[in-house]
This record gives sequence, C-alpha cells and structure tokens, in this order.
Amino acid sequence: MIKRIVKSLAKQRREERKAELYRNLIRREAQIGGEIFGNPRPGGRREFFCLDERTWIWHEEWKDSKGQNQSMTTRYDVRTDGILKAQDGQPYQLISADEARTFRKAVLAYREKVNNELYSFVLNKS
Amino acid sequence: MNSEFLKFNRNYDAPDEPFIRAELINGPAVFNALHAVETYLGAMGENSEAVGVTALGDTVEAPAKSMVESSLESYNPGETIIQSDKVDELATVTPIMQKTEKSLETVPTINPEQDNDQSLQAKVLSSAEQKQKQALADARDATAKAYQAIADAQSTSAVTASASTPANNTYQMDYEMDDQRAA
Repeated sequence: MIKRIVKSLAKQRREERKAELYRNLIRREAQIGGEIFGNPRPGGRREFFCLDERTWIWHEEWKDSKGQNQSMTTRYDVRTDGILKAQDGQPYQLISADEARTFRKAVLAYREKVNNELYSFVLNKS
Repeated sequence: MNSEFLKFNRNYDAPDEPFIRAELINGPAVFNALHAVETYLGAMGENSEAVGVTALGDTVEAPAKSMVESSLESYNPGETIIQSDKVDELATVTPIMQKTEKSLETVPTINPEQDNDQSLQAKVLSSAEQKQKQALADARDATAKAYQAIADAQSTSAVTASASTPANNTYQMDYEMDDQRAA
C-alpha cells in the first residue's frame, strides 16, 4: 500500500516537473518571440509565442501617458481557411491581409530565433 | 528551415519537453499557420509573398528585421516570371507570331530527311522537262515551218497548174481541131 502511494506520488511529482519544464520553455520562447518586433515601449514588455498547434499569443504591456499600467493580449486562432483573432474579450474577427502577411513573417522569424537560441541542442541542421 | 530537413538529437535520458516543443514549432504549428495565411491571401487574390509590413498589429512599433524578413524582402516573385517592362514587348510580339503561324499553316508538311533529295530531284526534273519542252517546241516550229513550206509549194504549183491547164487544153483542142480540119 505504502509502496503504491510512494509510486503514485513519484509519478505525480514527475508529471509536475514535466509540466513546469514545459511552461518554462514556453516562457523562454515568449521572451525570444517578443524580440522579433523590436524594442517594446518604455517600461513595457512584449511576448509572442506558440501555445499549441493552432494557437499563437501576443501579449503587450506598457505604461500610458498617466503612468498607468496597460496590457493587451491577442490570441490568434489558426483555422484551415484563415486566421481569427480575439483581443481582450472582444469577439473574434478575421485578421486583415496586412496582418496576415505580418503574422506569417513573425511565425517564420519565431521559428528561426527559437531554434537558434533555445533548441539548437536538439536540432541537427542537415 | 523545414522540419523535413531536421533531425532531432533525442537523448532518452533527457526530458522530452524540449523535443516536444521543437517538433511542434518545426512541424504542425508553423505549417498550419503558413498554410492558413496562404489560403486566406490566396482566396483574396493577393500575393502572399508580398512584403513591406512592419508590425504585427496596429499598436506595435516598427519591428527589427530578422534574417528571415530581410531575405523575404529581397525576394520579388514577379521578377522570376515576367518583368513588368517586358509586357509591352510581349504584346507586340504576339501578333507577329500569330501571322507567322497562319502563314505556316498553308505550307504543306515535308519530311525533312527527304526534303533535300526531293528538292534536288525537282530541280533536275524541271531542268530536263524544260529542255524537253524546248526541244518539242523547236520541233513543232520546224514542223510548222515545213508544213508551211509544203503548203506554199502546193499552192504555187496549183496556181501554175490552174494557169497552164486551160491553155494547154485550149492548145490541145485547137491542135486537134486543126488536125481534124487537115484531115
């Protein structure tokens, strides 16, 4: 009985470590992705990352003219025939052609930077 | 960089998460995103390779250009197909080509291997035919002249004969009458 509990706790601990490692990797990817678009606004922070196969997140924080903290999170949902975005509780809307082109470039740049800076040790470029 | 050209150094003692993320980014995540953009822009009839956009959204300042962006900006797909300043030239060339094609339609097809021999034969044959025709024409002229000469001669003797016959006859009749009278 005790052996089973210990085994279960060990498994749970292992799963937590894996989940924590996965989150840390995404956090690091988000920092790297945020550098694609240049410097953030003064006192601000920017993140851009891939959440899963069909979801990309862009998060921006900055201080407004009154010194108040502002933030905006944009979620891009990749569909087969287009890309929808939801911004801070607003309803989904189809992105414009210009934004689609920028999104495309951002995704390619993200892959390149993340591969070079984070996953180079698991990648053999042939 | 494409996931097809990547090999993952999977170490089974190391945690799986870095490999999972690397496989996701170099596989379905980027593929799905690019495919969706291509489909979307393609449906709008726009060139998905167009460049010049600087920010992801309206509220973001102009981004620093990555290597990928720079390489994309140097690529203009239109140049590899038809340069815009060549379009007018193409438009003027096309009618000429159509005329040539029409004129070619009236020319019978000739087997190129036999073409030289046939043309040589045609030249030899035409030369011999011309000589033969000329000889025939000369012969006809000579025959015609001969006939004409015969005809001329016949007509002359006929005139002579017609002119002399009555006289002879008259003379003969007169001579016979004289003989009868003498008798």
